[in-house]
Amino acid sequence: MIYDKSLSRRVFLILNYFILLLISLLCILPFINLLAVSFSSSAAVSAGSVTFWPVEFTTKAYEFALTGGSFFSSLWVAIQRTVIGTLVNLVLIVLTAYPLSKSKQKLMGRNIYMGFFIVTMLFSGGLIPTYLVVVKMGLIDSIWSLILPGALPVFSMIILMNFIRGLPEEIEESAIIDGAGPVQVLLRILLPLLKPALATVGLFSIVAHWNSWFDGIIYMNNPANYPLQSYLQTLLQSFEQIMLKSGSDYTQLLSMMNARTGRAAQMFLGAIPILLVYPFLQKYFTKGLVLGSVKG
Amino acid sequence: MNKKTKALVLSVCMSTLLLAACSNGSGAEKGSTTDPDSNEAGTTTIHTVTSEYSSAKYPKGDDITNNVWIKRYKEKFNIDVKTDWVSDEYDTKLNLAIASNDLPDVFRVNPSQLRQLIEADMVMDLSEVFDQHASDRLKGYMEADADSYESGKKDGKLYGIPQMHWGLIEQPDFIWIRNDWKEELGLQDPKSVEDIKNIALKFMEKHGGYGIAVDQSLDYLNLLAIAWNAHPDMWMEDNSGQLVYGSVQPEMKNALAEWSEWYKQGIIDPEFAIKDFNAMNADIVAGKVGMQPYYQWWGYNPGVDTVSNLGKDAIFYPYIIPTVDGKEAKQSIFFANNNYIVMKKGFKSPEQVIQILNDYAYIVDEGNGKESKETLSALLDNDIAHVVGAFRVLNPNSDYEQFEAVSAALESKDTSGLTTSGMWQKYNNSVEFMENATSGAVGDYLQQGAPKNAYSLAKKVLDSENYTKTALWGVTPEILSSYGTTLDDILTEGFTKIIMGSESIDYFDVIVQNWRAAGGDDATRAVNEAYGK
Repeated sequence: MIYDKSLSRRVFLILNYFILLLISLLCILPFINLLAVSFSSSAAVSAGSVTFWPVEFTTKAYEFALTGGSFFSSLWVAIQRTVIGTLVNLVLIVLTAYPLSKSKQKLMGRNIYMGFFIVTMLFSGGLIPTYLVVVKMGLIDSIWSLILPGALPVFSMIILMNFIRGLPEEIEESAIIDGAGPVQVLLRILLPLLKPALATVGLFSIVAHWNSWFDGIIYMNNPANYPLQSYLQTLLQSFEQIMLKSGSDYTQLLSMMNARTGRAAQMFLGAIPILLVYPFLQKYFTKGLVLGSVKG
Repeated sequence: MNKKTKALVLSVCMSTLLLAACSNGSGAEKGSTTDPDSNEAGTTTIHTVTSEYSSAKYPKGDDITNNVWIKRYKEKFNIDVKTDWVSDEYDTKLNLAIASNDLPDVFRVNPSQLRQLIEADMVMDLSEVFDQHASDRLKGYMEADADSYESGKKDGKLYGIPQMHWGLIEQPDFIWIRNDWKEELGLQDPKSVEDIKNIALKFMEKHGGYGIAVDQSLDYLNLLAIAWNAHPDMWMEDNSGQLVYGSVQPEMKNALAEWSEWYKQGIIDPEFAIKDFNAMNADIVAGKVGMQPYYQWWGYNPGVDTVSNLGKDAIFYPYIIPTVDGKEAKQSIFFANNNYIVMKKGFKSPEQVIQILNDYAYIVDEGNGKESKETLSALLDNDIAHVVGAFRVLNPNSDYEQFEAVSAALESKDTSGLTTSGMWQKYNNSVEFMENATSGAVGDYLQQGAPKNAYSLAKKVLDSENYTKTALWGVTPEILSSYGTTLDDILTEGFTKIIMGSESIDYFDVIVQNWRAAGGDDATRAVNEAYGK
């Protein structure tokens, strides 16, 4: 095509690639810097001389995080929580989004139900009432305290609901004509079609469960039950405490790592599993999100 | 139509249910812990809560809820201490516990939690039990810092036993000066503010950069304010006996006037307004600047990184901050006790807790010689001494005594005076730095072991009583804490403008007006009322 070879087209392409490259560098470079910081010595980091390559290579920050004792048990808790939590999320999302995707005529009081869900999305009960509910339910120190309070992510539910509405209604109608009931329609017809949307909201759930640390610290009385991020957070806080406390016998450690290298290592350890999951879900994202309007 | 009505009824029912669940939840009931206070064997069970203390190194199998101290309570006093929870978000979790009325028997609280609990009538009056059961040593701690002791009382009744602190010797602040630069230029110790300025200028001439490292919070620059007899952040009595806030007094204006001059000359970091704590220290560690107003713990941070980066000659030494007319400045001393031990109302055996407190004081201060070396080592070394949570009161003279012992031992090479593990640690690390220049040991060395060390200067300040104590000795009045950081932000922002020259020094009066209008006057009134002025 002549159009493709024109000067303005080429300038546009070059500029386009350049800007995209710039944007991807903006995303990647901080991460590389973080990695370099996590492997550098405390002094080099404090002096601000670490950019994209470790200075005075050391793995002390990782050793500190890994040998703290309960790293692997916390990792296990975090994995359990993420797997069970995401499954619970997905099941409830599908079970609520399917009926709510129907019109007002088919589902009586649909807007009132929607109102209930939306209120919970906009207003939370606050820390103390939520805590009291969890306590009275006897969930303290149980992994369910991390899963049940957020069992239905309303935002994800709305996304899935809109996705179902975007599907041609005729598919469902033909299934009904062939004798399928609502359950069969959901399992046999809708679920296979929903895969990309489920992958998207599933990733939201995975990331949310993996990253949250505050609920772990609040609901777990025994630190052995902390999920990974709560454990890492605790570790970092205690390291800052060591740094500031006169007379600790951590002289060796102090000269090799500080709170910033520790934080960098922590972020990295926390991010690895998500980085591993992401490539497998990515192919679904091309069809991904629809919120309110049409997407190609 | 009919269907619509049904739906409406259904949803109304749902909301009623929800609301009912809510009101049920907030109605605070008794907690789920049903352990009786004592059981058949005469063992007392005490429930407590604690925060993790991760710098402690336990023997295998032990942790914060099961360690040599807990075993000692059981063996010696037949007391079972049960830890209901362990958390690093201690204050948040404790607030939740208070709100859900699920209190442990004994726990530590901060000043505002103490006030809350007293007002809600949830903690017991300990006056009598403390008087009857506390050892002389424990009472001695209270005498040594009577102000803190008083702050645990309300209407003459003792509700919170102050846990005390390591000592006021931590508090005096210094101007730290890089030693190899100072010697290279043959400079004298600073005797007046003029000297500080001159050293800064000489450093800049020789090494470039700027003279004095400070950050955007002004916390570090403000340490120098005592040279003009200003005491920022501190509540003190003025001539008429009223309590006033140090940051808005006329003395502060003189300091700011001088600092804006310094800024023009490039002595103060020209980029200080965008530098946080880490960025400020980065310039020290990278060797760009040779002076820093700082606390006594300079050697721990940024000292460790400075020495490992620039070598041991690049060490900074502390100097007493001088006044404009060449005297030693009066230091500001703040309230140091942040924790109180309280007991739940209705708790059956408070005297047992006092017994444990007595025992802790005995082990730490008198144990040497009376208990076996192994016992003491197990109880105190590797930071095990700090894992006891609410079950201790510190000796408010301990750092002072520690410094005396360590400096005597370093001088005479006679270590027989080192009676606690803390003393040994400071001593060993000081020697370690002198012999091997191990950078990790520089903190203890500069605090206690160096020829010019922070604590010898601080001791001088305390011994000569060359300090002013804040008048706000205890719980901050509610109105003051309710303003949060707003009041301080007004001051920091205004002062920064003056220092950077975007406003003239007369702008100080405007700042003070703004501060007063934004709540400073209310706060002053509240503080004066709280202290009966």
